[in-house]
Amino acid sequence: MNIEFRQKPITLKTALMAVVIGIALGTVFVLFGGFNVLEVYSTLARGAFGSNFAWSSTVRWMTPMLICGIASGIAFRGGMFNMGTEGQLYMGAMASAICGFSLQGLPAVVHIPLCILSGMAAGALYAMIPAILRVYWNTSEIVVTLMLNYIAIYLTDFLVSEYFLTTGSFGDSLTTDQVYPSAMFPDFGDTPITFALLLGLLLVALFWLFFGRSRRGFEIHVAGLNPEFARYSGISVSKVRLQVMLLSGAVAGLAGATEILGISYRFLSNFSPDYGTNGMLVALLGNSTAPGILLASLFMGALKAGSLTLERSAGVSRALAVIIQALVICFISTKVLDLKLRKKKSAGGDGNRMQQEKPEPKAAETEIIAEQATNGEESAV
Amino acid sequence: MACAVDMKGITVRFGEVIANNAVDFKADWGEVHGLVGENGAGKTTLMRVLYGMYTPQEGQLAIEGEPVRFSGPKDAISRGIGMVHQHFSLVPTMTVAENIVIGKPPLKMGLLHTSRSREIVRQLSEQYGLEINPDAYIRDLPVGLQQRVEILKALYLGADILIMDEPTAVLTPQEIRQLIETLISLKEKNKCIILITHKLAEVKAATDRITVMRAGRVTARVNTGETDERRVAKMMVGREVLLQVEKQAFRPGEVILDVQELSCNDKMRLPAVRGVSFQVHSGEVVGIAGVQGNGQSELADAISGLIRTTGGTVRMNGQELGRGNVSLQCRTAGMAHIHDDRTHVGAALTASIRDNFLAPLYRRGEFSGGALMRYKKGEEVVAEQIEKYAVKVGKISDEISSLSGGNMQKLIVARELYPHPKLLIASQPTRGVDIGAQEFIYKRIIEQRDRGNAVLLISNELSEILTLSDRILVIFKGEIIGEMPAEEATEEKLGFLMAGIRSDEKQEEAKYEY
Repeated sequence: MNIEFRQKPITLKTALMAVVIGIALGTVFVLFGGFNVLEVYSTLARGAFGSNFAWSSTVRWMTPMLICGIASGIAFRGGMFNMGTEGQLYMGAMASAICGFSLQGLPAVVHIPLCILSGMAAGALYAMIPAILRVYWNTSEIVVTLMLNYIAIYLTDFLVSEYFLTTGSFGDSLTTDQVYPSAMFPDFGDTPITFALLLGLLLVALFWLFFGRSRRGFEIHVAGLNPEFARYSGISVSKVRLQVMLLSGAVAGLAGATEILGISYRFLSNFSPDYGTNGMLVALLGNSTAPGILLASLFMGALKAGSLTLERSAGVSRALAVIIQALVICFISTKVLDLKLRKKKSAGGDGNRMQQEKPEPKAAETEIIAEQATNGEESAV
Repeated sequence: MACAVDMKGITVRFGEVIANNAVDFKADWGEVHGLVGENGAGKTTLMRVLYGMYTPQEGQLAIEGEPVRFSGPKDAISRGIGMVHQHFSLVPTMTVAENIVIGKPPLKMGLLHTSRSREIVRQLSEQYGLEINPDAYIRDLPVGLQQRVEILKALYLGADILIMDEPTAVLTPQEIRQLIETLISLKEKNKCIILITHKLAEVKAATDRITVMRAGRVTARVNTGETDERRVAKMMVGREVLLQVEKQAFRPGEVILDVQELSCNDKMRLPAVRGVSFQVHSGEVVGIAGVQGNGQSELADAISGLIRTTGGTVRMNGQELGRGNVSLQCRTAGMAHIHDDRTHVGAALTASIRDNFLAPLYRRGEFSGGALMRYKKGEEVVAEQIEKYAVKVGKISDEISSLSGGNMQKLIVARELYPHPKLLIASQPTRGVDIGAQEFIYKRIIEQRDRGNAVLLISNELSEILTLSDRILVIFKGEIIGEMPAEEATEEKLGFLMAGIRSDEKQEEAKYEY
């Protein structure tokens, strides 16, 4: 059986509505907790944007989500549902950490790129496994990537405890040695800007150029929207699938590398609070477009940073942020909003979606079926 | 007695677009009423109003003289209106009986009463003379019978007014004949049948009266007996239509496409094409006639490298097309392909008009250089071609699914002919396309031939094959079982070959039996 993944295009309006409704419903939970809603949200906002420190915190959380969002976005655009960015991130982090603490005496301009590249290579190689299985044996990449996440998490755990365990005072926690200072990202003093953020922004620009200008980006775009049409057009869909997984894995590996080289400076077993999954949500919320991913990662980063402050100062569990995220994603993916909005807009039909009589109205067709199903007259699809 | 359906001054607007502009429509009991018009004329919209799917901004609707307002198909169904859509809504893994009773299932202890539903179906099928096996699974039925199930489903829900939306688009000639018989027998049971179509032969054969629509308005109401196909065509299109195309004398040149002993399998991995050999020369249109499902789609796909062959060779200009990305090799060798499945293979519905146009052409130097695309140039060309081919579009950044079927096909024809291909494979080039566009596509195909290029035409429409081809091959069960020059071909001769009857002698016998 062939499982084809195609991302449904989301309009800006749908995304905003989902965010608004997600926050509104999140409020219900705040009320349940007996907190002052106004205070909770103002603390949340202050924790995200209220000070230099708040901005730093937002950027700190936003960056890995942004880079992982790009990684997922590339795969989604090519029609591959890469659920394995988390695993690829672990492999990338491990590789760059090894490179960082085992190579001594290199200048930073050599050492940092070397660590980044080894991280990207590890992520890309790891993503090749599901890609090859998919292309040559038609194995669902969704299942394989998901399972490979666990392998990556426990494999790195094993590597740390068996081979790279640090000897210093960190003895109890599973962590490696610190990377040499030559592999650490430079910082920009007291500003919220980090080297990793710059890398992320560079990636956004590259992503935008790649899909907006390049030939390969065009091929990937077409193959992602309709692989059969791409094949008919002479585009090798297998090649596209290998390419997007390679790229996606490399970027996820880069995300792992930036966490090591910019934040923790050592590989800590089980270090990621689900950056990969968050990145996937960022790509979905941002409709896999460059500006969308940037905005979505800012939103998610701010939510995370704000919720941490909220927990510290108001005692509201940080789970609130997770709930809001989950709600937003639910609304994005159900498209319930879309139906409701259109019904309201015009009594004569569904607004600008049905401009003419179409003999193959795919979208309209599904609506009709949905309508009939709710009427209980026909449940046939 | 009041009319079955009486619609007055119906106006439906979708944003800026007026789909129905003060339309009056009447249909009587005991008639098959043809609602004809080109794609986008507003026929389906009008009938969706009747079926309660759209609420009109203006106008009244009366069933049997009684004014009604529908807020959904449920209301319409309760007033005895049924609609059979172009795309069936059947569950392939369920039986005929289950599909028919699904909207109002007879229950026993909260579960489906199987024997009762089987009985219901048997009664219905007897009552209306629509034979069907209630226990067959939908997935095993040919399209014609699936449609019969849809009709029975509507009748089971109590439909007295039955709307059929382009019912013949998916049927073979034999199935069409059967459907027309069915419609006539329903009419004799005093039902009101509304047949939406743009195929004139069917209108002539099945209907009693015709309402013609053009650009959202009704342009004529006539009795079928008092008019002919040509006049109806003129009312639909608004001008004289010539489906007979003029072509230059037949001067075939060297061999362009050489297919030898080609075999391939279908999607179910069963042999679909068995050792087919033929050649197409420059300046020649070779038509492949056959009843749908005899391997012609697979043949086109195998030649153009979309599916793997299991034997034989394909040569373009003497060069064998082989391994790797065969589809790309075909394109590079100067092959173009108007695919019969335009919504799944011939276009990416969610991609923009621009991207759909550029996808098979982006490798050309004018559309990309080095690693970058030249979108500006691409957009210029797309705009120019849209004008040349008179494709009605909004913006070229719109999704291609915003186009009507005919316009989408015109755009695809424009795209495939843009690089002046040496060989054009035209597979069902006018399927689901209105007459105006059909005439236009015929002209382009002949133009391609007259320019000294080759055309391989595959069509289920015999008239299309006869009009355009210089040489005709007949395919039956994956084999070419007959070949003749166009001037020797008649519908009758081809018809026998299409049914698999080979020799003249046997044809005589068959004629006798018939």
